[in-house]
Amino acid sequence: MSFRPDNHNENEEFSPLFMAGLMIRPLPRAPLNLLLQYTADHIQKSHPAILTRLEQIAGTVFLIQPTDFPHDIRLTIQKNHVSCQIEDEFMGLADVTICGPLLSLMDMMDGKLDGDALFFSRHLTIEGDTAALLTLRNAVDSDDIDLWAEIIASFGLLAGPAKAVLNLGDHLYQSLSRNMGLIGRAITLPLSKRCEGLEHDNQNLRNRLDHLDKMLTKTQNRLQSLSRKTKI
Amino acid sequence: MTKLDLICPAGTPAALRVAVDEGADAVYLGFRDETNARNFPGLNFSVDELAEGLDYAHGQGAKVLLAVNTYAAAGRGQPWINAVDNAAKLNVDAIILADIGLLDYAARTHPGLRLHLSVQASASNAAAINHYVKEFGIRRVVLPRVLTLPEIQGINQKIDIETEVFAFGGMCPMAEGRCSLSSYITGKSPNMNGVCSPASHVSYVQQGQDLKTNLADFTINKFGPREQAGYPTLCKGRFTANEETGYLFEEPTSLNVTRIIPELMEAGVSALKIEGRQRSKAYVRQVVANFRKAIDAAARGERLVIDMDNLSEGGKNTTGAYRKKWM
Repeated sequence: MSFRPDNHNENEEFSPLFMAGLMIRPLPRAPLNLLLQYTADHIQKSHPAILTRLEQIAGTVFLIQPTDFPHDIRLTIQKNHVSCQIEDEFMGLADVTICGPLLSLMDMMDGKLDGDALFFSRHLTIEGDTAALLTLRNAVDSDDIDLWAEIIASFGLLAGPAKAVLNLGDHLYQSLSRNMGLIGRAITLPLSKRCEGLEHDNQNLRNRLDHLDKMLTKTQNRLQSLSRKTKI
Repeated sequence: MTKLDLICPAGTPAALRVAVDEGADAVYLGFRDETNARNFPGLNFSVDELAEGLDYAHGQGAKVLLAVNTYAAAGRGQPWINAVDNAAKLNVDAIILADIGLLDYAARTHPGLRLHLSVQASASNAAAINHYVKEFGIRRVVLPRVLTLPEIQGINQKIDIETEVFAFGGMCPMAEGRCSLSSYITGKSPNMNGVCSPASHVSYVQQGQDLKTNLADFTINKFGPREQAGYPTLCKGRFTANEETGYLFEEPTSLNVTRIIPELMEAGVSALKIEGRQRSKAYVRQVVANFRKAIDAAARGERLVIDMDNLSEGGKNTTGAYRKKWM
């Protein structure tokens, strides 16, 4: 199952997930936290080799900040265990902060998207302990994780109904993605064009300023040279 | 002309399976320590994982090459000796070495083990390669990424072993195995520690819409809001001198030879190597699948050019030294 539309939406923040996030925001966190931790526990149980690769960064705290989701997620690596919780008012200092569209982050975890490519294209921003981040990325990538299967499995006895609900969600998502892409473009196109025009003007002004700067430096150098010659 | 072998990176067991499934003729990998030139945190194989990987690859007709291609540290060479012994014990299809001491040890102790000369040995002329053939019986040399197509052809006419060249991925413009740029600024190099610009010394800082990439607290580059980013390696840094800002050696870019595969075949090359053991299995999947198609097309006498800018550093590709000279 993939919740990713075939056509990558350039305006990723304005997505069905963003709208869903607005609806999720007022809900109590406890059920979401349970789902997150159950999924994390299930992954750890079914892919124990990942924990071995994570041993060297025990104690590291990752703060994941999806750009299109109302909650941040705190991932804490402990010896032989990873805890995963919603964290909206994080008062401590995360060792690593990862920021990007939630679906891209999930696709990266699922092995469908390359993290370096997301970084090159600036869809992903990272700050903090780069070595710890690489350890996490390589550990997760070292085994075949089917994230959606793991989420469904974390529902236990309710896995069947959960799968049906998620399938329905997938259909809705695909349909909404197409429509919201159109709506998003209709809203942002005039503004984007105006911004591009302003940026173009801005660049022209910057170029002219650079040119004037260089001319000024040359003139100053020439004046200094003339002044030296006059003194001689 | 014989069909080119496709040699693919496997940084993890999952990447190995993906590479084999997508049509790799061989995968190359390293142990989880400083004995290989991609000693990145969380990456590489344990001895048990290598054994499982060998079973999987051989089951699908693919070969496994083990890279033990850093230089053994003075006074504590045991990890390198262990790596060579484990390679022989597990019956890897070849071992990729650079250190002449290790080449000598492997040739004497395990005469049945096929030896490849790593790019880290920086053997860039026929005389050097023939010396390795004569002394250690190497069967293939991985050529440095600083040679032009005519130079590769010239070498192939004077040697009797196979040549492997880099085809995609990180575009190292330096004499590999001899580059000290990384160790100059971080104290660690790919040659001795298996890491160029080690992650422990890398930091990324967002400044509004700009991205600053730092190495050991030196700013290596600053990317504007719409610019594609790259890794903070000194050879691809952007520097300011005499009031001008620009790239000194090379800009952030990746190698891609799909457009010159027929010329590489004519130059006598035997195998194409995809760089990127440190990249994800998503990268491996896309690059290996595309190169499988391009190599198969070349074998039919066709030219299949496949851009993979989306995976490339700086969002750009180059044919590198094969078609240009830096000096």
